[in-house]
Amino acid sequence: MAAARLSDIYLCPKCDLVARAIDLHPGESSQCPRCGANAGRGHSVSRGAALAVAATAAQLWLLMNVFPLVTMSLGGVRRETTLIGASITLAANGKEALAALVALTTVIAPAVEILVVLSVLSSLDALARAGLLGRMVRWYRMLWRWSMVDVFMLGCLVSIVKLAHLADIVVGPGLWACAALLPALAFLNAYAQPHWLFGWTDEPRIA
Amino acid sequence: MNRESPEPVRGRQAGLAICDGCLAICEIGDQLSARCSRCSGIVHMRIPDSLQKTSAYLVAAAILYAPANLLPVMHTRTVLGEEDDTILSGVVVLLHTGSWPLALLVFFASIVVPLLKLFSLSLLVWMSARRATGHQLARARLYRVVEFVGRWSMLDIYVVTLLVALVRMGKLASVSAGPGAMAFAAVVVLTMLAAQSFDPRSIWDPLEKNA
Repeated sequence: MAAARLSDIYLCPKCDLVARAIDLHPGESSQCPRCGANAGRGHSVSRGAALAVAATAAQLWLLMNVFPLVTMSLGGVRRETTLIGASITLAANGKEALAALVALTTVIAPAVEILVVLSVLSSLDALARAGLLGRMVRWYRMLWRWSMVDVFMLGCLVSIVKLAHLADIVVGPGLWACAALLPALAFLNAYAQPHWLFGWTDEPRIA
Repeated sequence: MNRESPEPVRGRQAGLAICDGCLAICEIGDQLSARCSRCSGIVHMRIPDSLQKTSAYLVAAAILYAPANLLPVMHTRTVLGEEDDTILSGVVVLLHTGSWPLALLVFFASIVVPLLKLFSLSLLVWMSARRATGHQLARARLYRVVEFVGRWSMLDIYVVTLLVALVRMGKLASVSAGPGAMAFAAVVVLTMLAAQSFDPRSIWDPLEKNA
């Protein structure tokens, strides 16, 4: 094993097992033979297709933030809220820390997540040459678990059910955009695996 | 390499460490940490002081667990009167007024998941600390489940946020966030940090010869 090239080695981040790396065909996935951790998935899309998904996600993020999520009418009074509006109302309620957490997990983290993948995919080789690619991949991997659009979407549904028997509820374009953003983000997470991103560069593999 | 292999080679024995930031495999020899050649982040052979950090987060989360569940997360004021809701009473209200599948979902996300995280991570830390050599695969699976479901407890925080933002009808009806909400959010964040600072490799380390 000692003389093997690093690119031929699989090192499990979860159990520290060293094994021979296997080349995966499109759509194939592999698990660590010892602990069963996900060990990667073969390329199933081109870089261009991944870029298209990232661009779609960026537009949906914009729609989700600009339009109201839900409109509620009760006794002739109408109230609607946008995503950022909800955090702002919470902050005005004296719950600034909570509002900051909500804004981080629903607005900021997804935005940075999408921006990093978008810029990485659109200027992969330039970033790799400038030595910035690794850094951006690291930022992405630090942030993605704090992006909780999927949990937020479910929270919206629960709120709607809670309010539905009290008032008239109309689902706004923001929530539809949020629903559409979910699969886009799921694909994005799958595409943003380091070995895919580095595999798409012209640079020879460092590791 | 098959599972029955008696002496699996491990990165630490080969002087190899994987970068948590970009998953590059780095040759760092017997150093505890080094700079990653690909993303210039720090590569650790093991997460430093992993068990201490995880226990600290867990203790903090366990302390806040009481106010998170006992204090109201939401205060509702309507023409008919005022009402305080805790996490659990919110589930009960949903069971009576909404649909039971949704109530079950919220019960799972808000009650089961935080408890699961606290108990599972405590168990994992305890077993790793006493270098237990049994149930490696089951512990690895348990850690994966904890990592995966952890974020779903944020559900109730989002529900409170939306209700506060929407129900602003003055004297007719208004909702505000209670002190329990902050404690509950803190429990979610602290248990997520606890899961992240736990090093799952410590499950497998006791099996290593002359470690």
